Formats: sequence, C-alpha cells, structure tokens
Amino acid sequence: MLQTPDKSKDPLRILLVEDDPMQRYLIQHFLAEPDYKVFTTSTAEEGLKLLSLQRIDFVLMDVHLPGMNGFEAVRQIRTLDAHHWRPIMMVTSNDTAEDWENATRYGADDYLVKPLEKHKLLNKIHILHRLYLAYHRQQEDKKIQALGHFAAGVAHDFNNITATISGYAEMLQEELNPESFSYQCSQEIIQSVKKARNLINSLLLYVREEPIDFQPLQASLLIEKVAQTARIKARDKVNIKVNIEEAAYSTFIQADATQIERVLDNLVVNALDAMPKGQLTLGLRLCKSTHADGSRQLAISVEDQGEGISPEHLRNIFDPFFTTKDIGQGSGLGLSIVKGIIEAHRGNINVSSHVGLGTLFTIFLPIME
Amino acid sequence: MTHLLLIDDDQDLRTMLSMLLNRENYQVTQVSGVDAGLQTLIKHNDIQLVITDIMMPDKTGVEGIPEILKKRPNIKILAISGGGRTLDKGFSLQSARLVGAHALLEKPFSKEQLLSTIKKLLNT
Repeated sequence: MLQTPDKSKDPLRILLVEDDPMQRYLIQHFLAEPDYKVFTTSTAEEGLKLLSLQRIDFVLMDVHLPGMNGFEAVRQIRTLDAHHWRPIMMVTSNDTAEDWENATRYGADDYLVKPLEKHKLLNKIHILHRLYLAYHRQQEDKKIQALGHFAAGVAHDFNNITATISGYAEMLQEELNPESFSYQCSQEIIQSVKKARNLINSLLLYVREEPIDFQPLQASLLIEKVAQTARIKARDKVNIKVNIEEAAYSTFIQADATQIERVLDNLVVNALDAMPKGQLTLGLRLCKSTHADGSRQLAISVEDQGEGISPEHLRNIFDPFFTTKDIGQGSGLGLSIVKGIIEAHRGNINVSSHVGLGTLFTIFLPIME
Repeated sequence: MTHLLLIDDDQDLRTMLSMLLNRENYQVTQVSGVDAGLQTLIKHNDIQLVITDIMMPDKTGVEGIPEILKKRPNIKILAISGGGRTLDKGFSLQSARLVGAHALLEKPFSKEQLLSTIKKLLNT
C-alpha cells in the first residue's frame, strides 16, 4: 500500500539506521525538533522490518553496519518501494570515491560524510523532503486524472444507455392514450432518464481536470451578462438588481470567463430556486485582500431574499453530494464545483445566511494591478 | 422512402434508433463503424443523410466525416455524441462541426429533436 505523508504540517517521519550509539545520539539530538519524528535501529535488518511496520517518509542509513551493510539495505528498500519513491540519504565516515559511487549505484539520493554538522544535515533533509512533497502532489494529481478519465468513459456509455431507454419509452408513448396509466408510466421513465443525464453531467464537471484558460476579464461586463440571463430565468417574478461600484467597473481579473460565468449562473439558479419573489442583487466592489501586502481584490456578491439556510446546513454547503433538495431534484455537486473553480482561480468564497431573510454569497478574486 | 445511414458502435442504441426511424417511414441501414459506413455508401447511392456517432473505437466520427464528404460531397451529416472517454460532449461535437457535420445532437436526445433535425437537414 502506498503510504502517503499527510501534507507538510505533519512531522517528517525519519528512520535512522546507525550502529554507533554516540552517532545515533548525536543525530537524534540534531533532529530533536517538532518537525521531525525519528525512529532508530542499530542494524539494517531491524530497519527493514521497521519500514514494513511504520510509515516512514525519509531514511538516514549508515554505510558500515554489523550484518547487512547500508548499500545492500538501500537496494532492498528500493525493491520494496517498486511503485513509489521516498528519499534515502546515506551517512558514512568514508569519504572515498568508491563509497560515493556505491551510494548512487545502490539507489541513495544523497550522501553525507561524518563528522556531521547540524545545519548541513537539516539543509539536505529539507531539500529532499521538499522534492518528496512535490512528488506526492504529482501522484495525487495523477490519481484525480485517472478518476476523471474513468468517469468520462462511464459517462459516454451511460449516455448511450439513457438515449436507448428514452427512445423506447417515447415509441411506447405513441401507442398509448395520453390519459392512460401506461402513458403516465412512460412519461416517468423519460423524466427519470433526464435526471440521470443531469447527474452524470454534474459528476463529469466535478472530476474533469479542465485546464483553466486564464485571460484578462472585465468582471463588470460578465456580471451584466449574468444578470441578463438571470432576468430571462426569473421572468417577472424576481427583480434582478445589479450594483457595481464605480471604482470596480473597469477592474480586470485573470480568469476563465466560461468557468466564472458557470459559477455565477449556478449561484443565481440556486438563489432563484430559493425565492418565489423578491429581489436578487448582483454586486461588484473592490476591497482589501487579507494578504499583508495590502493588495486589493474584487468581491462579487450574489444576494437573495429567499428562505435562507439553517446554520447546520450552512456548515456542509460546499461538500460534494450535500443537498437539501429532494432526491433527483439536485445532485448536490453544484456548490462544491463552485468552490473548486474559485479556488483554482486563487480566490475564495464565503456564505452568510439568515433563515427567513435570505442568503449572501461573496466571491473574492485577486485583481490585475 | 428516404434512405438514411446510421453509424454507431453501440448496438442497443442503433437498434432503437433504426426502429424509431423506420416507424417514421425512413429506410435505415445501420453499421457499427466508419469503414463499414463508407462501404455502405458505395453500395447504396440513394442514401441522403448520415447519422454518425463521434467516439467510436476504430475510427472516430471526426476522422470519418471528411472521408464520407470526400466520397459524397452532397450528403448531409448529423453528428451525435454522448461525450468522449477523454473529451467532453461539447468539444467532440464542435470538432465534428469543424470537419463538416451539418448538425449536432447530444445524447440522450428526444425523438422530437432527432426528427426535426433530420427534416431540417433534408430540406436544405
């Protein structure tokens, strides 16, 4: 099983294999910091055993050991780790060309010569650890891509199947009296197929690693466009108001216009679903970012006068598959997709709500200065 | 009777569509891939319209459409797609349009959508 280090805030779990008690003590002393958790053994054999019992992110291996030597131990670790990589650094008192060469040949990533100095040891561990984290992020990305690929394959076959089902149901309908129970049943089949199609489309949106096409985008124009679409959707029932701060009008952001539009449409549809009548306000203003550098960001808000969201629902609102709608009415993927898109734009999204008064979503995006 | 060619690798869908189109008085020849479709076009020169899937294992519709048009420049082509294994529906359909498809439909489509699209293509 792949042992994944949990993010950078966890202590780095180091296996130290060193037979000399003095050296072992010294290295443990150097690494006596909250960033490190050190497991020690005095032989390679014990070290290998420990690797199979504990999650180890990093190996510090002495060369000259009683029994199996360090080079052979490194070779065995690499065989053990056939499908993943973890950093191995060798430590020795022999500064010979032969030992340096052997370290590389047997698979070590780095080599340090005794006597060890604390800053050099920490520095080298730090560099290898950074590589290790980058490696794991890449592995995670690959997993997500594989999932996306799989979902796309399923969606393709699934859409063929739903097309076949609804096609037969429609032919069936032609034979039936629209007043009949059988006709009603075929109508239900067609409706259910539509829901299935919507579900698979939302799922695709969630897993697809769509590359973001960053372009300069004048947010105010996009908001006006979204408002127009909203007016069509709202008919005359809900009044759509646009509130753009003058200073924010000609501000540009780096964004994928299609994706941000999808986000705003999603929020607008949710808002309209929540309010049979009243006012929906789309807002745009400039504000200070939370960064210490005093940079500014754009705040895009969508505020409705709907039924509001209860505090316990509000907590889970951005989770995938969280929904308060009836089964089949919503897939629950909407807001988790919204959040994902905004975060991919290096922004964030907030929500506040009062039951009976309405809900306010605010999206913060960095601006192009 | 207007003669249509249907190319799709999904046999169930093909059977359903043929049945549906037969009932609307179209003659349908159905095949599972582009190459078989090209053979059919040689044999039957009365075919006026081709309905073709995009994502198919041997040859995609995007590769197939230009070959069909080369053989039969005046034929009408309706591309249908349920999304790809790597591409999304919108993208594969846009690609089909770029290589010459005259109309596009996303699976699953309704009977009405299919019939009105076919009628429109045959009348232009």
